[in-house]
Amino acid sequence: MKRIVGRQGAWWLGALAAACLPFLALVPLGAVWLWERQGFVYWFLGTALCFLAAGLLFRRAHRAGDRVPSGDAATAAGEETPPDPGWSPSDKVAWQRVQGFAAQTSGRMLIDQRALLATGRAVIEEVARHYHPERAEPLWHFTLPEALLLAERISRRTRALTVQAVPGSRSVRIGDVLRLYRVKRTVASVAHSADGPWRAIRLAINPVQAAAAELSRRFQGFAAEGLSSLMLDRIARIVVEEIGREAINLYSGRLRADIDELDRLEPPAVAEPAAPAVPLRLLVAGKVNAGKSSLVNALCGDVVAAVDVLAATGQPTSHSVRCADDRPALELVDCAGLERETAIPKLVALAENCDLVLWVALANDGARDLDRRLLDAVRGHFAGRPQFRAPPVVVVMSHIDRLRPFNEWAPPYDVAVPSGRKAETIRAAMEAVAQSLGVAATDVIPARLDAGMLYNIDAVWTAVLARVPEARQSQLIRLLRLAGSAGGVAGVARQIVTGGRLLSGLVIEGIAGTRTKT
Amino acid sequence: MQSILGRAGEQISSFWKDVYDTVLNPKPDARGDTRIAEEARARAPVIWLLGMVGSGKSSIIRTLTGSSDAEVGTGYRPCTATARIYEFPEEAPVVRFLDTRGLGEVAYDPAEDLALCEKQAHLVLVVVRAMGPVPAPVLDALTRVRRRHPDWPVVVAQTTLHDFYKGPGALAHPLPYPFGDGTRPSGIEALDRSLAAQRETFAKLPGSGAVRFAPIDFTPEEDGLAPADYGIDRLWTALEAGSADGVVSMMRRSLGSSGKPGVGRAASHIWGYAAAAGAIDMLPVAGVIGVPVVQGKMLHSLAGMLGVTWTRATLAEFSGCLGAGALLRFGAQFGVRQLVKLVPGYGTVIGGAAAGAASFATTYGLGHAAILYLSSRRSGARFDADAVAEEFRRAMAEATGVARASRMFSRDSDGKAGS
Repeated sequence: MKRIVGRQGAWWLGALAAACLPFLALVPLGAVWLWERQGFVYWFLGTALCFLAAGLLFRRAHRAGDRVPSGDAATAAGEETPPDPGWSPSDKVAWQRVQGFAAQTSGRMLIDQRALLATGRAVIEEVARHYHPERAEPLWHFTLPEALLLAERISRRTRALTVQAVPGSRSVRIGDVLRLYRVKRTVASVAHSADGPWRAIRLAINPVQAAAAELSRRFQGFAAEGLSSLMLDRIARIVVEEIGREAINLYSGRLRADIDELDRLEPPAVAEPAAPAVPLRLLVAGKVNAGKSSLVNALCGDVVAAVDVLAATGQPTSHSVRCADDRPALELVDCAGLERETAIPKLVALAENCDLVLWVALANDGARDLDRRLLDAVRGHFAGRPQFRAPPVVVVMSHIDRLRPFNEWAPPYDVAVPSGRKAETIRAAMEAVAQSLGVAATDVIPARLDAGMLYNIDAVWTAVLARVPEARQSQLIRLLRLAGSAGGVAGVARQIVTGGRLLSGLVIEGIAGTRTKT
Repeated sequence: MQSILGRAGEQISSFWKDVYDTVLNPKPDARGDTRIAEEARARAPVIWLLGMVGSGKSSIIRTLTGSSDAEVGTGYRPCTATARIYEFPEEAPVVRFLDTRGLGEVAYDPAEDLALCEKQAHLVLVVVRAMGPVPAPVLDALTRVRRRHPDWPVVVAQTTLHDFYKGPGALAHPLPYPFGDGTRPSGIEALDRSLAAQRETFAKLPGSGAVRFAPIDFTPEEDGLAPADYGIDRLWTALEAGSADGVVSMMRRSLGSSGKPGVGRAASHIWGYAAAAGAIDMLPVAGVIGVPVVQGKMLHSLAGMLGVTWTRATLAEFSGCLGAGALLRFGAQFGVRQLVKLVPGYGTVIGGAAAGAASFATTYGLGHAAILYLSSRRSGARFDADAVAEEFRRAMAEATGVARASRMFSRDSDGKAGS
């Protein structure tokens, strides 16, 4: 509503009214004067002529308005609102459907409460069907905690909007509102339905009803005050979008766990009071001897993984990095060297449990077919599962010191504006890596990872930090998926026993890659 | 006696006439050129290079042939969409490198190429980077090959040794070459362990053919790693040992003899022309072109490479300085061979074979003598007629020995070197 009236609306209206009052007072005074001078007939004729002229002019204007191209009309009805950045591809499809509804709504819906309710319900049903097409009754496919969280969210949001946008909302007592409700018998049933937990849920899943009553009341008034139909259309669109947004949140399972709850589920071993949420998990992957363990050591700032000319790593190992300065706490999963395509299932399973992929590729090795196949397998895995969100990929190009000329090692090298042969070779290698691995050139970080000769690790950190928000989104969706997978009798039983620790248990299982039976 | 000498003289004069004509009035002769290239090609050993992309296959071709990038780049013939044969030199190949596209290149399936290469190869030269394990695609391909040809020798070139040299700004090869027969330690701990691990991997190959190792590091001059062809002798030795028939040894001498600018490159052409002459002479009835034409083309091509032009006078001087005795013997042999060749049955086989070897040897000798003559002509120095004659005899003897040892012109080998 802030979008419609503006924060200062009430004061402007008051000022306008005060300024207009003296002139409005002239209307009855003038009528009395005309009456006394018996000139009222002339005034009436003049008025009739003016109305006639106004009518003709209005028709002209209306016809001119019709000639506006349909594209402009669509823009006038409101731009498409972009989906939330944190949504998965599946959520985005649902949002497109909501947008479809929003595009069809007209401002008249706001004045007709029945139409508003019907549209809202249709939107919710559409979203529910999108997420649970196999259910006969998709509308009811959610749990009690979800419904309560939804109610909480809507309450919080409505309050914020009310305080911001509804004039006088802080001074109006609820008693006044209730009195108004009682007078208006049409909405009395809504007020009644607000008692008892069952009613609360209904209110939660059908927030439209409450909103509709309120909106329809308010906008009848607005419309009477001469709001343009264009304005009403835009408001209608916002209303439908807001309903759709909450429906998506409900049925996508995003409300299964609150963000605050996730905070509390952090494994205690890594828990730091200041640490934000669960540490992001980074998968360090790449071919045999690409330098994965060297990268892990470089990021940890310590020797934690064995580095050798022969393939040293056998099983995936996990290392945690404490947060330092502005860096978040991380967990690095050093996957075993990938030598053949048979490693794909293992790699995909690891990637599914990680929030960001650090792909290590040798700068001086042109054989990148295996790299590409493995990366494509991971991409394909996520592409086939729209409810998942693929972790972002950062490529660390290792061993840049071995590029031509071999004998030169005089960092720093400016690859953006290469000034020497070495810098040019590094730049060319970056482009080759980006092209053959199918990533953007900006996602390739050249580095030297030899212990004692580290170079550009800061750039790796910068690249990781830049993708933290995106990685957090992946993490959130991943954790929610884990929370959702705890369904079934056994899961519920464990939930009762372990309570909030369940999720952390799953997370730990995911790290080890082994499903221990409890 | 008089008539025999007269006939020999006629033979010689008609032979030199053909040579003179070809050298002095070179006519565009696409069929002849193709024929020479084909015959040389049929006898040139095929070295199959097998390795990942970027493992150093092209460097090996360049260094072994002493050819620049441009020459190797143009001297190839595609045999499938992606596999290529690098022939060196192009006009009359001495050696053919069968090069698949590097394994592991993005979106490249090598199955078809590998099947094709397997049909053509004499020797497999596996190229792997010294650092790290043997790449799985290479090992898989090699294992398949050895299952089908258990006795095929394999030479493993372990490249990019400088990856192990530590210390900024001071990369240097350990000298003298410490690896000996390719299996001895260098003293660089990580390098030795990696090489040993690779040898262990290759030891598990099926089949009985010997596997030889050559740690090498071929780099362009501008990289500043001296020598630029580190380990080339070891690689040659391994290749020679791999091809028991001595053809590679011959090729090595042919390719390796250099010194004055242009001479090495010119010398590398002789072998191909000689092989073509030998092959053409083996045929019962001379084909499109005869041995004199091949030799004439060779002399013309050598002169072009050394930046000299033949004239009637220089050609006469050159033929004169080969020595009357040598020339006579050479001419007489030529005449006798032609007669033997016409004896049906036995003569065609034995005579043809002997004629092939002799033509090979004389062409080879003629080429080397011509290089000596032409290079002294070019430098303007007074040439030594005896030295030219001596070079002719020396080279001819060398070639005769190799031709006999390798039986490259014996009938049963049917155009393939070795048995």
